[in-house]
Amino acid sequence: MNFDIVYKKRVEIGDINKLKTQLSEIVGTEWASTEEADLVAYSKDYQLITNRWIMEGTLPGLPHIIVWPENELQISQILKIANEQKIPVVPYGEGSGVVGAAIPVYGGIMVDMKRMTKIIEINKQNLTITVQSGANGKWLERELEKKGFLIGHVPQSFHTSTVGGWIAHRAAGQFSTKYGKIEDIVLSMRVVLPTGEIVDTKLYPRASDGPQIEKLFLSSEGTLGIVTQATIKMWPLPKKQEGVAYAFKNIEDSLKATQLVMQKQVYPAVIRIYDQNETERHFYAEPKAKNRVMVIFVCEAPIESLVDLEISEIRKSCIECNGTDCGVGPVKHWFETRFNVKESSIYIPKGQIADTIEISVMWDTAVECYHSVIAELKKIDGLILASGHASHFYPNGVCFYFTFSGVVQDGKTPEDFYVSAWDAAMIGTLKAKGSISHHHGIGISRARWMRDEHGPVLTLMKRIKSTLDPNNIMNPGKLYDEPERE
Amino acid sequence: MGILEKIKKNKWLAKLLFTNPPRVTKKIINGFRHEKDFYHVENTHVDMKELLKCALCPNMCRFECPALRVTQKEMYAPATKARLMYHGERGNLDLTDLHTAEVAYMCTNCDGCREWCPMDISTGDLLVQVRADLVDRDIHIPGTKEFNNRVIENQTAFVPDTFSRDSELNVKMDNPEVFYYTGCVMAEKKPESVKANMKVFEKAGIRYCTYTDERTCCGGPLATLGFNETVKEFARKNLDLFDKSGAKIIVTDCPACTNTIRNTYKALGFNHKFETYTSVEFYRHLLQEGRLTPTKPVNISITYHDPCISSRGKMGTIDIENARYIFSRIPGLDFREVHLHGTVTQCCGRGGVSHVHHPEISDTIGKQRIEQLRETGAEYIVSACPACEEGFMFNDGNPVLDIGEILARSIEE
Ligand SMILES: Cc1cc2nc3c(=O)[nH]c(=O)nc-3n(C[C@H](O)[C@H](O)[C@H](O)COP(=O)(O)OP(=O)(O)OC[C@H]3O[C@@H](n4cnc5c(N)ncnc54)[C@H](O)[C@@H]3O)c2cc1C
Ligand code: SF4
Repeated sequence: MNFDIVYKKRVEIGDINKLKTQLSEIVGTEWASTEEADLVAYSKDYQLITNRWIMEGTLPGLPHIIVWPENELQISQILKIANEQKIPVVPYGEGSGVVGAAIPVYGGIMVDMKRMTKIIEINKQNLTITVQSGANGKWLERELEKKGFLIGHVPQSFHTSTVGGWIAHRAAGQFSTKYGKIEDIVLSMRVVLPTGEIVDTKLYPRASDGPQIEKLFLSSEGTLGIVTQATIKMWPLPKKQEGVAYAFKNIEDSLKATQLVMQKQVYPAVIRIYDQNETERHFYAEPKAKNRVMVIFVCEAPIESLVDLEISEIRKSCIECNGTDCGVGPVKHWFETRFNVKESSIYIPKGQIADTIEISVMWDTAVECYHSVIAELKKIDGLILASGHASHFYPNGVCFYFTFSGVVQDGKTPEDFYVSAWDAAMIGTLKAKGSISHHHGIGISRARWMRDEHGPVLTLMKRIKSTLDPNNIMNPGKLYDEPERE
Repeated sequence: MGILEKIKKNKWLAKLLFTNPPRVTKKIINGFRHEKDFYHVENTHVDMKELLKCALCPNMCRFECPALRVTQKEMYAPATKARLMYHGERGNLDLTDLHTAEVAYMCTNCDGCREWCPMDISTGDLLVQVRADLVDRDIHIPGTKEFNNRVIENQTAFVPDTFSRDSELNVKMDNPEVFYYTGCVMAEKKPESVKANMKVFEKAGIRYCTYTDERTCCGGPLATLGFNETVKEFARKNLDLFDKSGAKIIVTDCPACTNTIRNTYKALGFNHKFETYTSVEFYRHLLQEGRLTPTKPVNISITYHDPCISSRGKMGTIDIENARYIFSRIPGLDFREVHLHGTVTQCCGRGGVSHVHHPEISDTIGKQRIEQLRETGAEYIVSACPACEEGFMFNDGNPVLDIGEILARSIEE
């Protein structure tokens, strides 16, 4: 193979053949590989700068070996070996993570969870499904749909992400304002700890029985163990779904309207605010939206009158904030295009450096935060696009999702541009008391901002990490610290 | 999309590109101009621009890929296959390493990817182009070259006996309306289906011929493996034969053959004017035109497997509705729809002649589909593609009916 590697500082593994034999004895020879193409396949996730690197013939990282375990016992044995030999282990779902969390920055063992997709139980009385963590979202939806149930968790990456990845990044779906984020949906889980113990957290609707250990693994990004199974909520299929769209003069009015909706305890499944730039991009066909801010709402429920009530309350709030009714056209457009992900394939080959960055903020500084991030992004030399939408809503605050794109100026590298845009968004967020990530996670992209985000709490996190993973084998170089490059 | 609509759609882009300081605009334009540097490769069959697009995608269609579902390895996810082959084509990965080259064949060409692709890309089509490059470089994974040689030797995908002059499937007549092109698989594995089709033609008063002793394999299976030179040879022979027969309409009992004659031959430079039909398309016409009226009740329960090739992708979706129309016209039939059908039909495992080079994967995919079809509780699985039917019979052991057989049963003797 003929590649440069960005994260070159791979651990030394004395005898790779010996390691391969040991791991093959656990998983079977077919399920352990050191073949070139296989290592290259697992060299990246969907951190967007890695797409630029593909075109330059550069690999983000390079694992030493890939294993595909079939059950938690095998994982436990793998982790025990890794722990004894102090070899990094990186769990891998479907590689859709966008912050570099699944990149093997120090090489090591890649543990792909794709063989673990079994549905263990569908409990119609409890409305729960217990499933192995390698299960793909869309696949799960189809299985549930067949039985008349709904999976409320639908991230845009639904077609290309796993239950384990959702937990590891504390993901949020498009319908989350009604059904909750993954932390509201996961009731219990099974985890293999870095030292090989297999633990099950208890299944309950709620309990007052000590610190909630399962919450610890949400957003742990594979650094505290490997989640192998989870019991998550499911819902009856809705009987009615209805959408409305309103255009507002500016972002302030749109935020006010959505805040009103949330605070009168109406929980639409979907709310999305698009700033003027994004409205122009997505809703060019809607004349009433010209130079305005589009907001769409979707309500659904098994009770039809509940939907009617929610829609009428939403209308009242929008009218109160001077919104213009745009009918259902924009909602339909959203449904039709919500999985259309193609910008990276089109613009990255044209030399542009782009990414999306989501953050969260309480209502009292929401407007300030939106403007602050856009202003910081616009300061970057070569920036051509900075826009935002709001995609997740709470009675107490909101999630903004920013998009940037730009070109590299002379004397700078693509990474310089990329990092400066990320830094700008983080600075803009923190200035307005926002939180640096709403649902994509930390990975590599945000690791250097963890101290600013958490202060001394980061030290506490690190203490938990070193207690559970004394040899720091689980996904090193992520979340708590930036990976070393040389 | 009309021109005005396009302008409206891209206004934001134009604004972005031209409201920057000149040095930034210059960089943007440079980016557009040098895009090709990122995908240029000399002497390739591959549409490298599309391959790169796919390689940069987060695998938005991965859940639908049967090869991935069965192998459970990241190398075989659609965009990952595209990425690895992009590296191979660009010389960063060594394609003479057969483990790497094999990636190009881990695809059943079911076009499930295209169905979900926002850019209308079929990873399978791109991999077929990579296979053609591999053939040019004399790189072959086990099974493929041997298969090509065998088909050249026999002129069919199987043994030539089925197509002998004395075969009862061999029909010749003057001034035929239709050339019934019998696919290799149907004739060899399901001659009863061919006879059923012949019965339907006769009942409808169609003058038809088959020339089984002179036709050759359409070449479709070899086209998917990248053996384009063989396909050209077969195209030449078959088109000459169609000419000689005098028929203007070609009806096949295999939608993959229809696709080869309709699309692949043309893509390889054979611009013929024959009208081509799948049996399903043709039967719908016959029923609608009143040339055929099913009257005899067929009191069985069936489920239908939509063949990928005539339900999405290259040949559009027409046969989805055509098949249901045909079933709706058959008295007594208890038709039970499988959960995943139509454009989201699932692969039977035989696509991309996978059973030739990866029989275990092909069979596992087939078994998974059979399980879904069996969930309907129907007595019979029916399809309209001999490869699907053969695969199901091989993996299930039970008879699988062709749509022509169902129609034949509903026609009074
Ligand atoms: C187009 C696109 C749209 C997206 N939309 C959304 C969205 O709407 N909402 C959202 O929240 N995110 C979204 N994401 C981000 C991403 O899809 C999520 O972070 C997803 O949860 C990652 O899942 P995965 O299975 O692909 O994980 P991977 O990328 O494979 O891994 C992510 C992290 O999880 C760890 N991990 C994976 N499996 C396990 C396991 N079983 N146990 C422990 N650790 C594990 C990995 O080590 C890594 O640190 C989007 C991404 C893309 C590309
Ligand atoms: S076919 Fe389309 S959706 Fe599938 S991986 Fe390629 S680009 Fe993505």
